[in-house]
Amino acid sequence: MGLIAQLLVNMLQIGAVYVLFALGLTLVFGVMKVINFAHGQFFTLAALMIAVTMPEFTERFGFPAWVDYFVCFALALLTVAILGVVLYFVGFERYLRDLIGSFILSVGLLLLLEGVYLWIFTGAPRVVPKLLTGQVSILGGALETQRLVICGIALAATFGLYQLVNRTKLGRALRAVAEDREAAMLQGIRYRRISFYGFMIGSGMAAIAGGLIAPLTAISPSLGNDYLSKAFIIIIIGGLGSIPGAILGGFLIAAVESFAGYFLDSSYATIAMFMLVMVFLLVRPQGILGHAER
Amino acid sequence: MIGEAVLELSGVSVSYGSVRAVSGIDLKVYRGRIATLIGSNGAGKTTILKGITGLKGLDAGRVRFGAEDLTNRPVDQIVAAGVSLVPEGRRLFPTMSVRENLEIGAYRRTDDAAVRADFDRVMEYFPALNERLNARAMTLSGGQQQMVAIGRALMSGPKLLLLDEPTIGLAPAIVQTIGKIVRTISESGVDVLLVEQNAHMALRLSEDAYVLENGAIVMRGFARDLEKSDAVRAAYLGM
Repeated sequence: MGLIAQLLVNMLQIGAVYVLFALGLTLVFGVMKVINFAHGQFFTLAALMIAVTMPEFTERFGFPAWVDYFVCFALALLTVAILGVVLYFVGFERYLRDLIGSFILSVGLLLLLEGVYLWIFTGAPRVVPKLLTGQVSILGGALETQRLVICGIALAATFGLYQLVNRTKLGRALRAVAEDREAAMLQGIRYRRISFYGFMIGSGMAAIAGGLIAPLTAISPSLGNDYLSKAFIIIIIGGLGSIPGAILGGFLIAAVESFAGYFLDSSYATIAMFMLVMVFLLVRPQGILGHAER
Repeated sequence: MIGEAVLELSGVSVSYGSVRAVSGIDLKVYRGRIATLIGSNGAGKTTILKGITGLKGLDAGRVRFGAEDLTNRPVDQIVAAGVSLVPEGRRLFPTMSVRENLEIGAYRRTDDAAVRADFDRVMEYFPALNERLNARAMTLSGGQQQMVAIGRALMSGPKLLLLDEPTIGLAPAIVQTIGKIVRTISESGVDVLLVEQNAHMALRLSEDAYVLENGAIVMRGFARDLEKSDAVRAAYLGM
């Protein structure tokens, strides 16, 4: 029982981070019709920023670790926002709805940013200090308190985005543009402005995911690559452009990773994921909740 | 003689790449008089509507709407000026509910009370939608989808309604319903430009008519006169 609880929380926690990351990617695709291969770089930058600034903060001010974490998290989000604005206006705005142009741009940015991060932060893996110590027991299984907190924040952020997209006027405009750009414009929706918002929200989701993964993993400039490939798997399984699909796919992949990783072996978990993708591409290429192109 | 022109196109030309789709279009819509633009598939009808609404830039010519010059203005400003298009193929947001599709038509409006009144009016025009409000748009029949599309356009509180082939593919009974509603909309003070392949219905419904062929207007006049003209009868009415 304790083991299952541990695996479940583990699944929820990685799953929520995957979902955040993949949601951002799918939102950007939906609104801009751009597959942003540099999406992982926002994720990486957020984690790196926290890893670099948090020890400095702790040394200088001596606040509890979780206070430092949230301050540095906010700083990291701000940094990513600035990078996002620059990349959007210098690059992506010119390649809206241009799959080939944006592919070349975003792959270039992926490589460029990884190089820049290596140059600034060096390649040595960094570790973020624990933000909370201690354990709690759930259903007989011992769990680190910080994992539980991070899991909670990730689920809350996912829920928040879901509400934003489904319940607000901005969310409705984002969905409208994703479903039919011209029809959305005919309702008076400013396509360019909405596509900028979509890009910033999507990139922000990646940054939040990066900030949440920071205390749980070793951080290097290539951290985002692994998550990017998993996000593609999630999107293929869930359905490209579908938000509920990304949520479902994210937790499904996390479950495979968590359970197959424990009962079999982590390399089998990876194989299982790719098998799943193959099955989906053969049987249901539009994904669980995607729509076939009309 | 027939009042002032609400919408006036003069010398409008639009191209796709190097291909000229329509050229030298002069067209007027008069206050309170339904105008129709008929023509066969590919004649350039939709292109003209895209030019008016700003979805497509003009190579030449001007679009005047009331006192405003709408030439090459951004779409959202043209919508704000009071021009609303019911696009060809309805173009609803398929996964959104009927209610959301209607509400998004009022996206730019802040006069909540008037928006609610317009919503009620749409329900009055199309009572069939009442029980489908929570259904996803893509689950509706073609006729109901067309009703939502017209309703959505009305939700922006337009002064001028542009309809692009609203009856295509619909059963005759629904065509009748749509025709009646278009007449009602016109009588309620919203001016109408109707673009149709269905010349029968369009000519009977409207006061003024234009015939478009290969991107140019080849005939214009009162709808009742065009209905009697031999050329129109042969080409568009199958007589």
